[in-house]
Amino acid sequence: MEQLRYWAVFVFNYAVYYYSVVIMISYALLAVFSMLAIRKYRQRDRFINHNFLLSSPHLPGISVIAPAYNEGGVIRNGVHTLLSLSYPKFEVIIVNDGSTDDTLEQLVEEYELTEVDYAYHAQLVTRPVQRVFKSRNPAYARLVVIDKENGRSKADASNAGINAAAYPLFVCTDVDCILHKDTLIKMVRPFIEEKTRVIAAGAVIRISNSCEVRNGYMKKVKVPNQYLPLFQELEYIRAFLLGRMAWSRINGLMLVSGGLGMFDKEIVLKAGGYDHASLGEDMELISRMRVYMHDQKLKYKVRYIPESLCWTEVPATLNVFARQRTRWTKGLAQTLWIHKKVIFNPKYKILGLLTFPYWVLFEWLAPLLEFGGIVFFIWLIVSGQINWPYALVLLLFVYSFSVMITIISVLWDEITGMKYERKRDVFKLCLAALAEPFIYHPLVVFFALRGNFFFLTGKKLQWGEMTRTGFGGEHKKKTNHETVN
Amino acid sequence: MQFSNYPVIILVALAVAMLAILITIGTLAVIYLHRVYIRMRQKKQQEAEDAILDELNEHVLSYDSVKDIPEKELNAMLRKLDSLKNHSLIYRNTLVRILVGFRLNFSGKIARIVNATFTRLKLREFTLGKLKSAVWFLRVQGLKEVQEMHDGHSIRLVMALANDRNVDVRVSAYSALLQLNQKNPFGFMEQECEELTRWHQLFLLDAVQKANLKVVPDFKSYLGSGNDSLVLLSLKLIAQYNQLNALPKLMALLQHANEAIRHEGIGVLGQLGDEEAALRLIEVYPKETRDNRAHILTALGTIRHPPTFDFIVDQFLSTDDFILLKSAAAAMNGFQAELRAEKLPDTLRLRHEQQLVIRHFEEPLNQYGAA
Repeated sequence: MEQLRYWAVFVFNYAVYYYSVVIMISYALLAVFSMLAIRKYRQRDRFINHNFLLSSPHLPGISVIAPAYNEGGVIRNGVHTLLSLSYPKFEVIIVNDGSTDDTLEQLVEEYELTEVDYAYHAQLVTRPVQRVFKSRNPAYARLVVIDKENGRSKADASNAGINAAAYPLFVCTDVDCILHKDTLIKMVRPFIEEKTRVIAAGAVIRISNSCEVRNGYMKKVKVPNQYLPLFQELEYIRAFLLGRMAWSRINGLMLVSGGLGMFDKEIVLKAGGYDHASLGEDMELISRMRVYMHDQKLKYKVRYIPESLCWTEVPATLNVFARQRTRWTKGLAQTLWIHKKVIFNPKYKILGLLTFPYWVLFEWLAPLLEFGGIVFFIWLIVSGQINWPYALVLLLFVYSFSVMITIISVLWDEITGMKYERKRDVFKLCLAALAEPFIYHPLVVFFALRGNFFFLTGKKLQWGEMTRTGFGGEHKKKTNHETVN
Repeated sequence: MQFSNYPVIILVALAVAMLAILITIGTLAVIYLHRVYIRMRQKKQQEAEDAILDELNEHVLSYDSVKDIPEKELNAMLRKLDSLKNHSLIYRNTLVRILVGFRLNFSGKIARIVNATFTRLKLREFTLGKLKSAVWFLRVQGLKEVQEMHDGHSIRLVMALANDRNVDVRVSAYSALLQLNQKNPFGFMEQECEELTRWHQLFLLDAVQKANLKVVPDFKSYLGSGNDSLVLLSLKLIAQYNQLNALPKLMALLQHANEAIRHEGIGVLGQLGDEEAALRLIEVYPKETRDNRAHILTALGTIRHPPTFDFIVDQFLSTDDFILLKSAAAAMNGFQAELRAEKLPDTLRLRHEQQLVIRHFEEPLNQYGAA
């Protein structure tokens, strides 16, 4: 028994150690690849003139799809922002997903909408579309508003928007996201600059909490004042600029955020659109699109650009944060389970041999191992088996590496265009990086465990209320879908 | 602490931790210095811009030509600009940027003055130096400056870059040659072997529009190119210049193996509006892919040749495919209302989907924007 315990401790110690080493090596590689990707993008952006694109009649048209459920607080300004995007050929499709507030009434009033006969083709199955509206005012000719029965998910509303989309590319976003006016002209570039067909592209999403927003337009970018959004800002910078840029470089992306993504409509339709039963519908769609392309033996790419083009509000309270993160983990587990045939399957090349295994081993499994490690550590302390100098060295090892990677991400953020005017905002972020492993990371792990528990037990998530500050003050809304990043 | 007694993995962990701490401190320093550097550079650029614009506005741009500027004033101004140019790299690059910007946005006397100033300040040498740079994006920048300054004397260097190994440099050289090489601006269409992306094609289309070409070639001669991307570019150019004499070759292109080329060719035939082409499109319709069939229907709606209306109606009534239905309805809508009333069955005898698309295109609000 004693020997068994000894070997269990020995194996576990070494397994955890080498697991950590592999994660760290992968992060170091991500840092290198992201640097190369960002450098390449910046060279092209700086030295190649793209201004002429704005007047080119040959650019592909883009449909901007924004589902709206009980967005009465932000709908007017949100739609104005979308209609103000700079691009020669686009339409804005707002899908009113059975709102119970005055979202539709506000749209009708603000944009002089009238019901029209519209050739809506339900290629993707959704809850019924009841009416389609267009504006009597030529200034809003680009706007289409679809009124449909509530589908209890953003996926259902997005699919309705895709059904109505007239153009070969579409952008999926949220009405309460603030998009940069050059979003479309920048995000279309991967689609026209690559020789291989690009089926989806994403950009960096930032956090709008504490930013100065006026009439739906971003006036001043500021670092969040509250601790929870502040840590999330760090996390977003690390995830987008380090993680996704690196995966984009090796064509291994598995996720284009629901808050902002541009897609090839034809491939989305062939892949079956968003899955309304999925809690991580954005990741699940990309996975399915990639699997489809592999199954059809077609070459493709999924790309990210290191441009901050979208600002979204993130949970500022623990309750809402908890629900979001639990749902994300459940969505991740769901997606990995649905597409389990891909894992270690050489038919799917980098998706099967690298991306999926990475997400299984280092994104899904990590919180479980970490929790196991903490429990084991506590047991070692209680049983008096801890070697404190070694333990402290290992703690320092993990902590210092984690902080280093985060600070490097902040540097990448600075290089891609200093978003914060004041130096102190940047150093506030850096200070938060020191505290993150002790304060924020345990929360993420805990809610990830919760998400896995919900997934394994099949427990449904309660939606409840979500409080958003919005652009004009606080408003509470019952929501049945949030942006999944 | 006896580190030598520690297990290897602990020593490795300690070493990595130390390295990570050093890298973190170094990165923080880089973040701070980067900020300081960027702010300083922005400040210097603004100072440079203010100083240069003051000098140009006061001493150069108020005259009709360089010859009108008094010798003393001209020399003083050139000495001042020269000293600004030699002040620092930022000043020099700003001067180049401003002069190139002026040249791009002005013509006539100001353009001539700007050119003369550019030459006298020996800024041309810096631009030519960029053309010889080992770094691809500097070569691209140099080509842009040469093009925008209309520097015809650099044409040999530009032609050499038309054979560069980097495709972005080559395309920038082609763009410059469109401006500078009046004898054979489209020579690149015979030499480029690599596939040009859609971006490259749009870039060249834009350059063609801005080039002020004295002679526009017959782009149909490039429709036989083995490089499909050049065929696509030629098709866009044929449409842009409305070259009706390309029609026979365009119709022959409807047999091309590349679906994208056939698609583009169908679009161009629609734009050119030839009635014979409309009949040819009907001939190839049955053999085409679904998307190309939809495109053919759209083209027929653009050409509006009355004998084709029956065909469009037939497709509208017989198809179950919504995309084809919608394209046929859109095409029918382009014809006269009397013809539609005469040829179309009574709306009540149509399927729900058919009625829906007809109403869609009859709705005036759907005519705007995308629908």
